[in-house]
Amino acid sequence: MAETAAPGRLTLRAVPTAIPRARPGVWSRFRRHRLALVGAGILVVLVLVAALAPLVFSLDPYKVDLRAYRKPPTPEHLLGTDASGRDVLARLIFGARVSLSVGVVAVSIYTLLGVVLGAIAGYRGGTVDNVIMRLADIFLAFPRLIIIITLASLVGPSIYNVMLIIGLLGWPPIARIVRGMFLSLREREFVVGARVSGARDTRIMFRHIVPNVLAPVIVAATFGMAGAILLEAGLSFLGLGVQPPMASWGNMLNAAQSLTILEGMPWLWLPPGVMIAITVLSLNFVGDGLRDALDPYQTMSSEK
Amino acid sequence: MLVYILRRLLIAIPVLIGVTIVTYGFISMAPGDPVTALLDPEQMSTLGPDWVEQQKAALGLDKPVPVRYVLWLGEAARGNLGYSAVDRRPVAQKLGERIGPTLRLMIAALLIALLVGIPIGILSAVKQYSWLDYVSNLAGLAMISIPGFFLGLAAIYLFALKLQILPTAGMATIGEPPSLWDQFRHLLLPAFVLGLAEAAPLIRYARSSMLEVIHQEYVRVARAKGLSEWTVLLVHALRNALIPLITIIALQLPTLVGGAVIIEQIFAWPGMGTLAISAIFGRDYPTIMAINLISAVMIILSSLIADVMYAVVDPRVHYN
Amino acid sequence: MTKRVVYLILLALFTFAATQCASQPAAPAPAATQAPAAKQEAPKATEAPKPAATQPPAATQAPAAKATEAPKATEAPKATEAPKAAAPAAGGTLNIHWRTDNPVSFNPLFSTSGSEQQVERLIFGALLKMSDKLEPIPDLAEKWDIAPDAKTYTFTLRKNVKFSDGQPLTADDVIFTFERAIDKRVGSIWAGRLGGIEGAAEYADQKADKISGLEAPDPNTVRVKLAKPDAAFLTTIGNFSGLGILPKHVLKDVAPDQLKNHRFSTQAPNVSAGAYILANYQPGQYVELRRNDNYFGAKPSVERIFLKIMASDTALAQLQTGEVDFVKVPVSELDRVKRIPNVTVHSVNSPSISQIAVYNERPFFKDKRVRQAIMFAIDRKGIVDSILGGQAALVNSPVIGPEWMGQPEFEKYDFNPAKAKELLKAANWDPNQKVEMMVATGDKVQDAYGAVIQQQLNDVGMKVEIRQVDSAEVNRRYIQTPDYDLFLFGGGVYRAEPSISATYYLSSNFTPRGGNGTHYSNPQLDQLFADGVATADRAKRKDIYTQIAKTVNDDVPTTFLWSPNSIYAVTNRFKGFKPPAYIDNFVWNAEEWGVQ
Repeated sequence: MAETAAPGRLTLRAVPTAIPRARPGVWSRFRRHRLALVGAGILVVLVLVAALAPLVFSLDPYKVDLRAYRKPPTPEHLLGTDASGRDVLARLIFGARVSLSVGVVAVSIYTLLGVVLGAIAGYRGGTVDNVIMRLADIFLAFPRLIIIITLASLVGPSIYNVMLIIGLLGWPPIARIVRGMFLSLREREFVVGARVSGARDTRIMFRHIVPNVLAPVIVAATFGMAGAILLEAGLSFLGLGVQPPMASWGNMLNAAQSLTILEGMPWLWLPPGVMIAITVLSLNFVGDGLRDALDPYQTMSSEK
Repeated sequence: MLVYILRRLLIAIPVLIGVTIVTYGFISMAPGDPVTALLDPEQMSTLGPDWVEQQKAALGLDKPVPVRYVLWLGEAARGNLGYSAVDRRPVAQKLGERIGPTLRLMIAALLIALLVGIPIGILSAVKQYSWLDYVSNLAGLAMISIPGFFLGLAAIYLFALKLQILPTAGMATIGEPPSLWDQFRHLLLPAFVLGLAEAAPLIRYARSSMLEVIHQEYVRVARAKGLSEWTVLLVHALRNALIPLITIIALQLPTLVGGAVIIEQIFAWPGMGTLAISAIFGRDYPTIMAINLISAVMIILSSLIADVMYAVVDPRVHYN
Repeated sequence: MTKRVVYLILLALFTFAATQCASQPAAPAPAATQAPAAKQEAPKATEAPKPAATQPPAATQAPAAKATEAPKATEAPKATEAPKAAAPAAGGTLNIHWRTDNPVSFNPLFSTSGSEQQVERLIFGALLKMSDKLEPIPDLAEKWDIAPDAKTYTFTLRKNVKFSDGQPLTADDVIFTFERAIDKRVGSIWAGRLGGIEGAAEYADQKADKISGLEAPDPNTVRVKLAKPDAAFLTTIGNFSGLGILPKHVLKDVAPDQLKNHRFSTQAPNVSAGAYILANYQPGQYVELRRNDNYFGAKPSVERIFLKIMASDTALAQLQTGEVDFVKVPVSELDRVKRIPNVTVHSVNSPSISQIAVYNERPFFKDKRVRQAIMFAIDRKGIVDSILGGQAALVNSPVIGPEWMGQPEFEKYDFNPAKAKELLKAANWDPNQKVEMMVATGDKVQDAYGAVIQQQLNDVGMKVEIRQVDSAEVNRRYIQTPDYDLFLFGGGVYRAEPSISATYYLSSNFTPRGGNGTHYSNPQLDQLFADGVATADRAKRKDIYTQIAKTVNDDVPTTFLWSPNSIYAVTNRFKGFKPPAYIDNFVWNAEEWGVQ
């Protein structure tokens, strides 16, 4: 399930052969995509709440209260309490910090890796390109979830390891996009011009070309974050996600994986379930909106 | 054409080799004795330690790692994937038991994903930016936005406990003679939970694929000729829009393999996913690596087949 | 083009149909996938020492459920209930939730989990078995005689006991089994348990070709002499579902160091003397047991028992639909399960103790005041009343039974955070000392109170972090190469016999060689344990073990929490289930089970 990072991957293949720099009109096109707007709004609110709420209100996600064992919502505990008598709302908000940062950090790691490797492959071409791309093929050939849980069980689960493992394994799709665009961009006038004027290769790559490939990378990263959040949840189900007592939406939902809770204690499964769903949906909408806005012609290249 | 296929094959070979190197790397790093993991425990038990030493030498298992890798590759190619570190059964046998159920689940899920995803995707492309477009997009995405483990339990609760129309879990009613109908009923829940999650990307893909085609010259020409809108869509646009789907099906495979891991766990499905989990928690390295190897080979092969089929079907692909 | 799409869909449908067939037991596909294995087995046929007579039950290894019915065809009456499992009366089927997904072996010498031992308990005969109260009751031995010095045990075997292949089971088989269990080359987990038999050490190292303390005066008598008196020897050999007696005629030619790799251990034991035989093991799905027609006792009324492999949540759902008849209930689900119609819930006091092992080798745990502080810091009663729903009894020492032990008086460690802080202060506890608490994954109730314990220890100034680990990691860090601070876990059969504590607290029993995982060492206690085991008189034993309980209660080498109840749910069609104290022993009276 966590593998449903797929929308991200699929869109990667919907890469236009060349995307001009973000043009004027991007924002107006993005605005037309109403769901994307809503999604962006939700994400902003989420980030603000996650960042600020703990500063404003006194929330303790770790405080246990044995007299409040799986109690339904009350004015004191607005979303009830969990099986350790902890406040669900507090955990939900602190869980937002964890889940969102897993998404952001993991995706940042692999985006960076992907851009660098893709740029090198696309710019250098030849043997370097071949080696990097075959490496990408090899990484892509392994079923991601199985490799991830193998590694997670070997190095021991923790929030940092989860970020690192997802981050280190996720680069090939990004590298493919970047490489594809580099192949077509490296012969363009502005690149040739820069080369003639004696600029160093790294400068050409990262100052001149990379800004031109960022649009699809951002789109892919947006979808990737949704995938990473789901992946963390899946790892939590297997006991390999973020470690308790630290809260993440994934391990909250996993703790609620029980018929008793499903049937009679909605305050335990609905909040984390809804938060995961809303966040994943919002990220997908924003991704869709960004793609439509950055690539108005819906160009599809079959990649091969 | 033939050249293209050959070239595609040539690209697959280094990838396959890479996959085996990575796999072997894991095996040699893992604790335990990779040497005896290759020998048949039954023969070891009847023939004794001298035989084991003899075999080690004969198989070159006392040689340095690169040499051992080549020998291991030879064994793997002949179907000897070693013996489980946990219960000492042949890994090939353990996998053999699981591959059928996993394939069954994956194929059913893929079918469901296709049957749900493509019509919705096409409709929402035709009615771009309509309420239908939004709703289908929303519904499709909603399915992937809920972690599968929870969706699985919720499905069991709803369909098996509340509505009581489907069995809870397993591949068949145990203890009864096998019947197709019984197996079909057991397949429905896990296949739907897995398949609907796969439908979302397909909706998205079918939609953009269709959008691209709709805006192309020949469709406009067809329309200009005065053909009815549905004729234009179904006859001219659809068939070209569907071509890329061949690739999609192949690309869904790794996703399905991963998704199956968790769905199988919930639905007590005796496939490779449940085997992978118990192997990982039991530190059964020969089994883990064989699962990785087999899945990787399956994925490489299917993308190879997809590419070749794509080349055969799509007249626009250039082979050189 | 449209045609192509149609073909594509047809192709997919066809593949689906193909896999449908493939997974049907008798279909050719699985056989095909096993081809490589089959090939390697080919040469073996010639060397296999197995007599032809043993072959029919070997069909258990065929993936086909149908194949297993073949040898059964001789029994006409059973054919009647074959088609529908729903058929009532004698000869029915029971479905049991089986709590492992990765059995190591069904050979009693090598199995490691209670789940495997349940199967062994049903398919093998043992000298004796344990009752629901964990008292030894006769099985293959119809009676036994204990010499007053508690050093000599004489077992009288039932006459005319046969293995499932028709061969007689005699004292020879018993001695063969003990020899293999003790022989170091075999690597059985029983070696340590049987180490007290006279001459065991010499035999284990092949310095003797016989175990001097083991003899068979006649085919129906086995005499065991112990090197030192051991009043609890019966419990030792009866625990862990008993040491199943292996068929010597099948295994005698297998080299001891290779027994582990033999088909009998790796695939399925095909010759055994219990009430059932292992008819079919489908990995990832179920173990099928069938009534053994050569069983010496009364014919069990249940003909087939399926042990179904699945996750606990799924099993609870299947209990409700009637797809399984027996489930262990996590206490967090108890209220809901009680409301399911046609299901009866049993809750009985277990012999186990939930505890936090404290690694006494850690310098910061050397001071007993620190360990006492942990006891005072945790609101154990609060946890039992809330998270455990009252389904547990507080425990303050490892000596919790049996009844004749009574209730020794000692420190109750009532929740007292202030006192905990005081003790930590007195012991100069470094507030910056980080302490890691290992918790095995997969138990949500334990996760819930683990979080409470962690928080309450933090409240008194002990910086505790939780580390979730899987069973392999537990095995590595707790047993094989001890390296941990705290480890939250539960289990054991403490209530059965006070001497059982020796396993966990004798200084000669440090892990990985023994069961003392905390590496607690107290010479005074060692002496008491030695005295206890050498004493046969019950009143004197009670005195000694009360002293032991008091010492451990004061030293708290491990943090005692509570003894949880064993909670079982059975469907009402399942007759004859008598809830035993120990959860893994739920098959104790399986021979008497029936279905409606």
